[in-house]
Amino acid sequence: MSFEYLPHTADKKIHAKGNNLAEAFGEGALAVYNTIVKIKEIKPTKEKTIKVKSESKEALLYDFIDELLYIIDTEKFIGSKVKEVKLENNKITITFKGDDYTNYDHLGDVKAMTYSEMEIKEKEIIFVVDV
Amino acid sequence: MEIKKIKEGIFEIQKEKGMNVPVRVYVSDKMLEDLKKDKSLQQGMNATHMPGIQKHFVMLPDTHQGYGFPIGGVAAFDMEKGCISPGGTGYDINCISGDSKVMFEHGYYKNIENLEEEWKKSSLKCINLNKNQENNTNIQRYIKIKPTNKVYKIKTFTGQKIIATADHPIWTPSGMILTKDLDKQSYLATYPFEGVKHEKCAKKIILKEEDILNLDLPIKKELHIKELKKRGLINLKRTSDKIPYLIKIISYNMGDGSLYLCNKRPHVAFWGRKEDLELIRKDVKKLGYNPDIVRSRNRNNKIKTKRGYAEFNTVEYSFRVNAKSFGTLLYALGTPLGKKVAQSYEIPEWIRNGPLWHKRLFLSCLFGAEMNIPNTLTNHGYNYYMPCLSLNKDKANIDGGKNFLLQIKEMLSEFDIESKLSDEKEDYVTKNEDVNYRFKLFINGKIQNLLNLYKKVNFEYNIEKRMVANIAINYLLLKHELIEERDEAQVLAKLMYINGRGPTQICQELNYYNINKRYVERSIYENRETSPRVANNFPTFEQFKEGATKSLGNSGMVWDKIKSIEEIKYDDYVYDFTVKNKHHNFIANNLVVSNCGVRLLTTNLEKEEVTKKIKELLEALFEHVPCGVGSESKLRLTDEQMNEVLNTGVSWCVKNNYASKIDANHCEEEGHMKTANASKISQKAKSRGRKQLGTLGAGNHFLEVQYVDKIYNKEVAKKFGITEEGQVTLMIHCGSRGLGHQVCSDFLRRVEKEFPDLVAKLPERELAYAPANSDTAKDYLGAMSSAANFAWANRQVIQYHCQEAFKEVFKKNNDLKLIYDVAHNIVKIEDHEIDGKMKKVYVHRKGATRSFGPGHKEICKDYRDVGQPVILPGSMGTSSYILVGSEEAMKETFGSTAHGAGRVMSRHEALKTFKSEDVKKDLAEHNIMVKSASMKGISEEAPGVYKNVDEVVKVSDEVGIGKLVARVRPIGVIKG
Repeated sequence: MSFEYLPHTADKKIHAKGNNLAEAFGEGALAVYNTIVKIKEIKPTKEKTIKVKSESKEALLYDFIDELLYIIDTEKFIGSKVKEVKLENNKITITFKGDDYTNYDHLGDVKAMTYSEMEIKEKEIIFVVDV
Repeated sequence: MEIKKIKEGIFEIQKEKGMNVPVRVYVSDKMLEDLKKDKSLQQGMNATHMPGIQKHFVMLPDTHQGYGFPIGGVAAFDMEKGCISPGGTGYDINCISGDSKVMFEHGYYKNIENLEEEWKKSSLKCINLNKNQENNTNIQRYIKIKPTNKVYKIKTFTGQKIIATADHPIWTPSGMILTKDLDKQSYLATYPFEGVKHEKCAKKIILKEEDILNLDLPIKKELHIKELKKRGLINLKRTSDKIPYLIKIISYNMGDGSLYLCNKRPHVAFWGRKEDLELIRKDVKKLGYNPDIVRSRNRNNKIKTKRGYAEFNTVEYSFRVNAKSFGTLLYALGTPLGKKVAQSYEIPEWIRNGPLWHKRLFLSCLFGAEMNIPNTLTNHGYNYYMPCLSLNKDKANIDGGKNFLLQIKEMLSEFDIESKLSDEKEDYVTKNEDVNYRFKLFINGKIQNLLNLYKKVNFEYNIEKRMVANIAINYLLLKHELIEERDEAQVLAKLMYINGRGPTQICQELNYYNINKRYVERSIYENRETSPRVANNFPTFEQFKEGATKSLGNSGMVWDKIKSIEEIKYDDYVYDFTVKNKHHNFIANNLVVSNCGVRLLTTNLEKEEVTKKIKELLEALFEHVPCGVGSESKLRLTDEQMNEVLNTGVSWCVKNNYASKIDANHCEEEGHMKTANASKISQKAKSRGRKQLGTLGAGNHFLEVQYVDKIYNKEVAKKFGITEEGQVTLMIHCGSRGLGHQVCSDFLRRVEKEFPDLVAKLPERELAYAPANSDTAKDYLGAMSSAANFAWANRQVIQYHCQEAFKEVFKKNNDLKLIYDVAHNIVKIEDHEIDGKMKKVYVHRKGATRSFGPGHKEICKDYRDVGQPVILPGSMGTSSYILVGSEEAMKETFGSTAHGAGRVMSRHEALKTFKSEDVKKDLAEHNIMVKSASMKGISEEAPGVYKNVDEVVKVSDEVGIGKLVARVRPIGVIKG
C-alpha cells in the first residue's frame, strides 16, 4: 500500500503515491476506503468500475473521491484493491475489487471530500477528507 | 495584528488594509493567548475581506481553526452587494508564499520556504540585464517582500498572472518600472522556461576506484585514479555538486561529441556553435580540467542520399579535452567510446535512476545538441514541425538504436511529454558505401505537449535553441489562450484553412490529433461551436518572433503584453496576496457541510431510576436508533415523500405522526425553512439521504442520556421545562448526514464551474462564493434550507425512535418533551440593527448557535418572553449546558453564541493518546457508560481532545451573549 495519513486536527489528510498519477489516485481511494474499514481484512469478492471525467486534475480528484463516497453511501461498496486504473486527459477509469462494507467492523465515517491542502504532483497526491 | 480589549471578554482586532470590518473575539484573556497558537485569528481577519460583510466578524468563545472561515464564527452580509459562500476560507497575507518557485542554475526550482538555510550557498538563475545574458549567480533574484502598500494583479496575453506590490520593479522596454507606474499597454519581460521541481537524491556513490580498475581500457589505471582523486571525482556521490555538470557533458557528448582512443589515451571532443562550446568549456573547468581552445575548420561535405549527392561547405567549431583522466571519467560513467553509429549504448543507468531534474539535464543537453530548433512549417506559420531526435545506426545496431530512443521516450513521459518512434529508414551512404539506418523519435505536436517540452525540459548548451524555445512557449501560450483544449484541432484547422490549406493537407499536418478528413471538413465548413476569437490576424510564429526578444538579446527573456492590471481592492473581491503556484487549494469545507445541530429533551424520569437501568436503556436506544457508519433508516421514502421532507422538514413529521405540534413549535424555524427548494438538490444528494432519515451517523455525533446537575436560573429553567436537579434529559446531536455533505460538494463544484472567471481571478480557489443576487446564490439558499429541513426532520425522527426505546424500558412515565432544537451550521435571512437601522442580511453561522433575546418574534410563544433556549453540548463525557438568548447577543453577535467545545487534538493524535478501553474506564469511574458502534470512535472523541466547555460557557455568560440556565451531566452515551 502506498498511502499514509498525515497529521491534521479534525480530519483525515491523505498522502498517496504510485508509479504514475493514475496509481496515485488509486492509492488515494484505498486510503479513503481504509478509513472506513481496514482494507486488509476485506475479502475482494465484488468488483466495481468507476469512470469520472473533469475539467482539471484537481477537479478530477475532487469529483473522483466524491463519487466514491456516493457509492459507499448508496451501494455500500468498499474497494480493497485496485484491479486496474487509467488516467488521461482528466478522465479516470478504475476498477476496484472489494466488498459490501456492512460485512465488516467499521472504524469511522467519511463525510465529504475537500479541496483543502490539495496537492497533485507527477506521481503523488495529497488531499483532505472530512470525517 | 492589533488587538484592543473592549471590555472583559471582548477583544477587537483592528481594521487593517484590506479588511472591510474589524473582528470581535469573545474570549477570556487566557483563551486569547491560546488562540494565538493557531490560525484562527488570522482566519477571522481573512473573513472580513468578503464583499458586503457588515459590522464586524464575530468569533465566539469556542472558536478554533477551521478551513478558512474559523469554526465558531458568524458573519452577516448585505443582501444586494454581498455574497453567500458555500465556503469561507483563509490565506496568508504576507509576502510571497513559501512555495513560490525560485529557479536554480541547473534548471530545477525549489520553493522559497525551503531556502532558509541554503540560499546563500545556492546558485540561482538570473538575468544580467546589462548584458542581456542568462547568468548564474549567488545573489537571490526573487525577493521576499511584505506588501506594505497597494497590491496589483497583472494578467498578460499569454495567460500568466502576476501579483505584485506597488513598488515591485518590472522589466519593460523602457527599463525597470515600478508596478504602480505600469501603463496598461506595457510590455513586460518574462522568463518562460520553468524547469522541474528539485528532488533530493540519495547520497549513493556512483563511481568508486574499483570501477576504474574494472574498465577494459588499455590505460595506466593507477595514474588515472590518482588524477581523479585529486579532483574529488573518486567515490563520487550522486549529491556531489559536480554531478550536474557531468550529466550535461556526457549527454552533449552522446549527441554531438566523441570519445575515442588515441595512443592508448582517451580523448574527448565536442562540436557545436562557438558560443555554445564556450558554455561547455566553462563546465569542464568546473570539474577541474583544462579544455583546449575552440578551433574552427572549413569542411567540404559530400554525401550520397536517396535524392542524389549533397555537397556543402561549413565552418565547423570544436574543442577537445586532452587530460588523460577526463575521457576515462566519461567512459566510466557511461559515455560510448568510439564510433557511435557502430555500437549500441543506453542512457547511463545512474541517470535513469536519478531524480527528475537530473533526467531533465540529460535530455536538455542531448536536445541542445541534436534536436531541431523550434520552427514552424513553411508556408504555414502557425504550427510547428514536430520536434524530433534522430539517430543513425548500422545494420547490426538497429535494435540497439531503437532501444536507446525508447529509453528517451520513457524518460520524456515522466515530464508528461508524449512521443512516437518511427521505423528505421535507409539513409545516407558513407565513404565505404555502407548503408546506415536512421530512425526518429517524434514528439507529439499538441500545444500542451510542446509546452511541457519547452517549459520543463527546454535546451541546454544551445543558446539559440533556448531562446527560440522560450519564444515558442509564449507563442504557444498565446495560442492556448485562444483555443480551448478540445477545440484545438478544430480551431487550428480553421486557421490553416483561412491561410489557404485544403482539407487533405490539413488532415495530414494535424495527424497527431487523430482526426480524420471528415472532422476537418466539418470544422471548416460547419460552424460547430468554434470560438469566434480565431482571428485572421493571429500572428505567425515568424511574425511573433520578430518583436519577441527585441533588446533582450540572448537572455532567454521574452516580451509579453499586459492584458489587464488592476489594483486589488478588498471590497470588491477576496484575494490571496501570495504568489502561490499551487493552484486549487480550494478549501471550502465549509459552512454548511453537515447542517449539524442539537436538540434537548426532558423526561419525567429521575437520575436514580435511570442510572439503575442505564445499560438496558442504552441497548434499547442502540436497537431503535440506527447509528454508526452506514446506518440505514427504518423509513422507506418514495421520491415524492423525500421531496416533501426536504421542502417541509418537521412539518412532514407532524403530518406523519413522527412529531407533535409542540415538537415543531420548539424547533428553530419550526424545523421548516420556507426558503427550501428541494428541486435545487441533486439526485445524487437525494439518493444519499433517502436511506438516512432518522439515523445517527458517526464522528462527533451522539445521543446522551443526562441528568440536570445544576440550575442557575430557576425561572427560565422552569419555562423551558427543567424543574429540578436530578431530572433526566436526553440530548441528540447530529446533522443532515450524507445529504448535507453532497449538497455542499455539489454547490462547491457548481460555483467553481459557473464562475470560472471569478475563481480564476482568485489567486487561490479558496475564496469562491456566489454573488448575493446570482442564481447560484439563490439556488444554494434553496438547497441549503432543504438540507437544514432534512436535518431537523432527522433529529425529529431520531427523537421518535428514542421515545420507543424509553417506552420499552420505562413502561410508564416515558414522555420525551422537546425543549428546543438549534442548528450549528447555517445561513439565514435575518433582520439585525446595523448603524442604527434594521437591515435584512444573510447571516452565516459556522459552528455557532442562534441566541435570540426576549421578545423576538422568531421565538415561539412558549419562550418568547424569556428568550430563546440555547443548547451547548460538551464533548462526550463532559457537562453540557442550557443557556438563554439575550438582547446583548442581538447587539454584539448578530444574535449568536457558541455551539460547544472545539477540538484541540487531531483524531490521529487522539488515537495515539487515548485508548478506547481507558477512556471507557475513565468515564465509567465517573459513572458514565458508553456504547459505541465503533471502538475507534471513543478515542477520537475523548474529552481531552476538546477545549474546556466550562470556560466557553463562562465567557458567554459574562459577556452576556448567552446566559446560564442549567447544566447537565451524562449518565450514558450512544455514539456512532
